[in-house]
Amino acid sequence: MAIEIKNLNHIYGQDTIFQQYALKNVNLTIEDGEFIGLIGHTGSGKSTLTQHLNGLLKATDGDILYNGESIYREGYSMKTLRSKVGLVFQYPEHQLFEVDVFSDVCFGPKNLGLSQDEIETRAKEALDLVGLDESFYKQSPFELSGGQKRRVAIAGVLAMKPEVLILDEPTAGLDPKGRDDILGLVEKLHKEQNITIILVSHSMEDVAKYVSRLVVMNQGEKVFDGTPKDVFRHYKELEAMGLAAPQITYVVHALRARGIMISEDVTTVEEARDEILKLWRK
Amino acid sequence: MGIIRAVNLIFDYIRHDEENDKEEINHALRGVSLDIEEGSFVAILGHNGSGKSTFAKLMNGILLPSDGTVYIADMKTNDEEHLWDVRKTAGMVFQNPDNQIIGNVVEEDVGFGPENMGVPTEEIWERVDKSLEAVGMTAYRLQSPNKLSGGQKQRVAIAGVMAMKPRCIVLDEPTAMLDPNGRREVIKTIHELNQQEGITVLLITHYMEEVIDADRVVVMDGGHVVMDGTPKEVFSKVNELKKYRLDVPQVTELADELKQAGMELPDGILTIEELVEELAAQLS
Amino acid sequence: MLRDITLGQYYPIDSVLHRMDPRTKLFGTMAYIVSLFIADSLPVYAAAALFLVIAIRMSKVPVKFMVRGLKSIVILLLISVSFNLFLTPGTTIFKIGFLQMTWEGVEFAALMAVRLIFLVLGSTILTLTTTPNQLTDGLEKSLGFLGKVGVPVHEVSMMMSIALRFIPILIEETDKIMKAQMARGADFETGNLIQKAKAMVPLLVPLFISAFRRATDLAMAMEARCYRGGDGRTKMKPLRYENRDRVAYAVCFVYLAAVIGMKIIL
Repeated sequence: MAIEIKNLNHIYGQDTIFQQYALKNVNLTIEDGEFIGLIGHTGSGKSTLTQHLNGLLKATDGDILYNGESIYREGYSMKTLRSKVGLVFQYPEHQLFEVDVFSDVCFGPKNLGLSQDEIETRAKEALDLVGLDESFYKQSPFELSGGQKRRVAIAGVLAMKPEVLILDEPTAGLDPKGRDDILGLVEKLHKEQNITIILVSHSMEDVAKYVSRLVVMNQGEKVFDGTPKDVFRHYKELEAMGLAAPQITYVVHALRARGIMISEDVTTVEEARDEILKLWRK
Repeated sequence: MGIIRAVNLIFDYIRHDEENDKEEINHALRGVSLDIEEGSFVAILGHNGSGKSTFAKLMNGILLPSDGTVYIADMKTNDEEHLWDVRKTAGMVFQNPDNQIIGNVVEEDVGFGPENMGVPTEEIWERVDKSLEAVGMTAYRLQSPNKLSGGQKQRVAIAGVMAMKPRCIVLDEPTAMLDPNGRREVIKTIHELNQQEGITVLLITHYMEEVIDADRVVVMDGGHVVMDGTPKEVFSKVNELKKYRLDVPQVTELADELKQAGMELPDGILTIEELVEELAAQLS
Repeated sequence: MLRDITLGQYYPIDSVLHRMDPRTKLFGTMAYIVSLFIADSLPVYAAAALFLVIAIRMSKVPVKFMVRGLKSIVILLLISVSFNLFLTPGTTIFKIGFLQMTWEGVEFAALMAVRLIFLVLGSTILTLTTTPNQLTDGLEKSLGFLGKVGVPVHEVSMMMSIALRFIPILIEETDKIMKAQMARGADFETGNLIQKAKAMVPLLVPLFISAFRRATDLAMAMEARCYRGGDGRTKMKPLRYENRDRVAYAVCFVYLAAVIGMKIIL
């Protein structure tokens, strides 16, 4: 059990007339090695929740356990927590500041107080993981393309060797190719490095084929938690929240409504193709 | 002849080295010709770096072509004397909603364009009222733009352009930074302007689902126009689109795969309803 | 915390004060500030309080909202009050070490506090009822005569108005970058002055880059909307004095005269 969130509340402007729940009684357990999609529209509380996981925001009440230990315990090292739970913000390229790519990636490990050798080894490993070779090391991060900048920023977090990696809308503003590249990279990190991944997104379609579990947030509350196919069964409720299920879900339900009994578990284009062909050949 | 005519456009970005002895030339456009009919809704698709954003900025004289000519309502954009008329005729909406709102109050921002054009005060108010109404933001006219959602900010930006009474609007990836709700809001607004006010729309985007209702879809790649046709025509070529690193909507992809497996389906299925109709007929 | 500052924030409702010409309000605020500086007796303070109460009522801004703005000056208030309280010579009330509290000190500190609160509330009314654009318009027009001696009045006021528009955006951005760097282990709190200054680099560099990018975008957007400086520009909200402005000017003059009169007579 990597992260356990217990009865978490976050209230803005408590005890004033402006009082507003950003998070309301959230309970969530994230196991080691999971690949989770955290879905919700703007203002649903999903970004607020992720910022609690590495201690950037403090809950009004409730508790968060990391590997069984409360992060709100007195003397708990936030610095260590932040290196274990890596958070990649939306548009992470906006945090780049060093003169070259390599130095920028070194920033994280340097803050951890590691030896120069260790810092450089980690930076190299991280850049290798995101697919940037040595020819990039001495380039200015500001002269790279949008997708490359984002890779550098992700490497900057990976260099801290996190056990859990949270990515907030990592594909925002990218074109379809850039989006597939980044999501492919995240999938590789999960498979090859065995990093627990929490992918924050407002697009069901983008994450459905990668994640094994979806958590849906709405108005500060956790509303659904399960496998993609379980969650997509609630496509009508999702739509009411301003979240659309993938088009395939609609096709499946429309066909079923017409008496064509295609399995409800179908969520991706490939599964739909196979199911429909099976029915067609019959 | 169309309201926008691009004739053999070439555009090169030239970057000088620090010592200025070496220069790097980036050919963003390599000979693009396009004729856009007044009143139509045209979408330009392409991945980042395909030249589509450069093309947009050439449409109202923000950039001037290295070679070739852009005519906006028969005025050349590189004619110094017509520059302001060109900008009045072809309004422009940009990607980042925060970086194009100048006013501290919604209605004052919408009035910014007409003020610059020297429109008399009373008429400015009429134009502001009408533009805010057209994008459905009248209720927010006295608010600070900072309190609005991304989609609302883009609608304000569109109203700001509408108040200049343009004949066409060029939108350069207006939804790239928005969430799905905001995206829907903005696309709906643009369609309404096109249908109700007869404004010519040139929408630049990389989201497929935004272009299926367009009159015409133009695909750009490597500084060239590589596909041009109705959405149905363009989307019937799924493999070609993928070659240009573009997506197709899930239903289109599914229909294409089923066809390849031998099912008989029409080309270019774009909506859930179409696909369900066809499948229901064949499976029951 | 930054959200609590009401000074410099516009409160969007409709009232007589909201509709008044910004030049009138600027003059009124100036007159009020002058009156506070020459105030030295209770009747004058009473007049100032009356003036303030009437202005607040006319603005229709909830008093609660206005008082919240005072939070930001609490520290300043405490410092100046304690200085006056303990450092004014006179009849001693009690004494701790070299600090002595005097009757004169109490009186002086109280008046000082009242004066500061009045000052902040008075200028808050100006900004709460005037959009930053109207304010810069008002300044532009009032200071228009400087244009004749080569001061770029229009450009300066345009810059001010853009700065006001982007301050909240940049504050939010600062917060975001700070958090992003903290997620990479950055520490903005501990260390000596030099270490703290060095820790600011990862915050300031991205902030500047972002500000420049925004500036480039904004310039492009302004040009696309036919902006070409102040020449030939018309105004959506031109400044025109109405009867209410004439009345307001008269009231301000009477108030100022009364205050000066009281100062001379009392």
